[in-house]
Amino acid sequence: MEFSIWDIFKTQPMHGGTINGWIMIPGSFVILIYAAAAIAIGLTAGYLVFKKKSRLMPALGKASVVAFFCTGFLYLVYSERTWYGWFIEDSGIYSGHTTEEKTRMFLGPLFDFIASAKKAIHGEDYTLYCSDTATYLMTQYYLLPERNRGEADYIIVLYDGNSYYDAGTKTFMRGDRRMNNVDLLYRYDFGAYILKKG
Amino acid sequence: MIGVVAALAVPTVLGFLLVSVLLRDETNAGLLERLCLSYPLGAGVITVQMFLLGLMRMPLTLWVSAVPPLLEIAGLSFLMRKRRISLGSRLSFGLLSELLDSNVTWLRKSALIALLTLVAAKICSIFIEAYLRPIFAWDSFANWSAGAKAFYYSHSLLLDTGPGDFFGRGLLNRNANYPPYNPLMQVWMSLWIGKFDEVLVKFWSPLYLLSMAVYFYLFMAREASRVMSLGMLVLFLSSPLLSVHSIEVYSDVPLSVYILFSLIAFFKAMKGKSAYWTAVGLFAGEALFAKDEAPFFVIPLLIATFLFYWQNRLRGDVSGKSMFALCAGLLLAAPWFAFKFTHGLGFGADYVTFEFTFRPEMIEKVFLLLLSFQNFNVFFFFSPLLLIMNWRPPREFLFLFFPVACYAIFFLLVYSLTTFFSGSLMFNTAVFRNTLTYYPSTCLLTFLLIANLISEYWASTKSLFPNI
Repeated sequence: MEFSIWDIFKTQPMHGGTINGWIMIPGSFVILIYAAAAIAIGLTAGYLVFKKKSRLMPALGKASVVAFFCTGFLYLVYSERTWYGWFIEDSGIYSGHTTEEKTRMFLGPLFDFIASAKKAIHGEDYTLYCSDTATYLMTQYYLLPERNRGEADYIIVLYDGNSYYDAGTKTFMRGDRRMNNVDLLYRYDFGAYILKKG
Repeated sequence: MIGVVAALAVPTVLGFLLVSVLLRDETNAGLLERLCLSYPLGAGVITVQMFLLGLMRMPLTLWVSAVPPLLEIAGLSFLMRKRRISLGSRLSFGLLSELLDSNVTWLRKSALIALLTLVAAKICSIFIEAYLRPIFAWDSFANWSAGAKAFYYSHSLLLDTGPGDFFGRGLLNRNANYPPYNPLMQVWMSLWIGKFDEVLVKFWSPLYLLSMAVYFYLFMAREASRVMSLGMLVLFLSSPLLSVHSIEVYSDVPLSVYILFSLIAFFKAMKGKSAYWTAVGLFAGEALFAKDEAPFFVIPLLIATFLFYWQNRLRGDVSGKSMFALCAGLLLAAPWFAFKFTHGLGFGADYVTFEFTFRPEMIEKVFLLLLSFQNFNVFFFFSPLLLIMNWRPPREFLFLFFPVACYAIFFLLVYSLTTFFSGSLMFNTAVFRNTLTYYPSTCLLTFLLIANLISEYWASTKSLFPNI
């Protein structure tokens, strides 16, 4: 674990690689917490034993309590700085908007594609092809209650590396599979489109 | 917004009346304490009832879902009036009177105001953040909210579909093995809002944090000074993971609330307040309906309660009737387990495989993660240290410590003995999320150790910080 004094003063952004890992506390700060704990225990226990003539074990117990609060508040300064930084950032982005606008901001261009897909499939089930797992799940989620089925009349293709549609011959190909007489209902761009089996 | 208020008010009122009936002989339980218990209790009861309605093939509409709790509210109000059961008169906060007391030093008042400001700012920011963001987390999309949307739009639990769709099984990454408490809570919110709103549907989550924070403070303020209790609360709330989970529709915070409340109820029951035995059972039952891991806490909790009963049966502190009351509370989870076992639903996510291995090095990895202070404040470092310093902790502490320790050890065994969890698949994620479910109870145990150390120190010598 490397120690750098500058890491301690940096505000780490909310990381959020997953919902369960939001702050990456730098190693230097972890070292600082342990050092602060050791110093707080040493100084308090020393004071209680030598000045107050306390016995060692009760003094160490009380010193641990002092160290707990000292290091706890030290940690708090760090973690809350990150939390409120994120909070202020989010306030700037999302405040004053409706739920639909917030969802659009969160999803980006995918929101418009999903809205078009909802209109195109008319409440029917669909088959979704997408190479990216996160996009695959998010699209299904926002299209609910319509369901993604293995076999459906509507086909939604969202940047799927295995899919190809030829508008001239109305042919949809995915791997070895080939479907003829497939109509193009909507095209967002080259890799994102909605089809209907003829 | 009126729909959101109504959706949160109905479980709160129902829970409040239930708590008032349960704790009718506990004159010490103040109004605010009862209010803190109300919402989590009421939310659990309402979702169990919605589950039963779904099992009976009743359509999960607002009318059908709201009538039972509204009738129960009317019935309980009538019962309380007839039996002259008090709602609890005192707010029992006491903080304001301390701030206004002229005998309290300005230093202490300043500390109280500063700590109170930190608590208020944190809780307000969590509520605002929950209102700012739409649902954004992976498991909400893939599991909890996907199930909620499917239930909401179909007005059912999807029980009369093909095997592939049964109970929402084939939906995104939904895990049909998990209890339906979370999706049903979202359905409940949506029914009152009138649509599935990606922002407002989450609003039940921060209310759990609020109930937990205030109740935890009130518990601590009875056992120690208000400065120390608020200080502990500020540190407790500074966990980034707790904050983030409180603005999303995950089940970990509700489970942690039910675990904490059942432990505090057990603590009070051990102190001779027998009315709390039913509360232990009810909150443990709600924990079982909140998340799949709960049995591994509830079983050790039951062992601890029966050990306590066995030790004290001759002294008359605890009767067989109390144990019966506890078990009656647990019945709340019975419909779910009956459904789970009759339909062959297992434990854990559908994709989890139970192939055994032996990797003790994973235990070290877990300790290193917890001692690196990612996601949690310093509680996990100091609680073992304070336990050693206490040397002989009070008996009540040991009864509370046992179920929490067993629960934590269960996770260590899962991480080190199963191929699936000891593998690389989101290991840190699993550790942090599971730890969150016993983080509040670890904070409770840490507080009890600190309170005991301070009281022992006062008894042995003149205090360095007498105002703590």
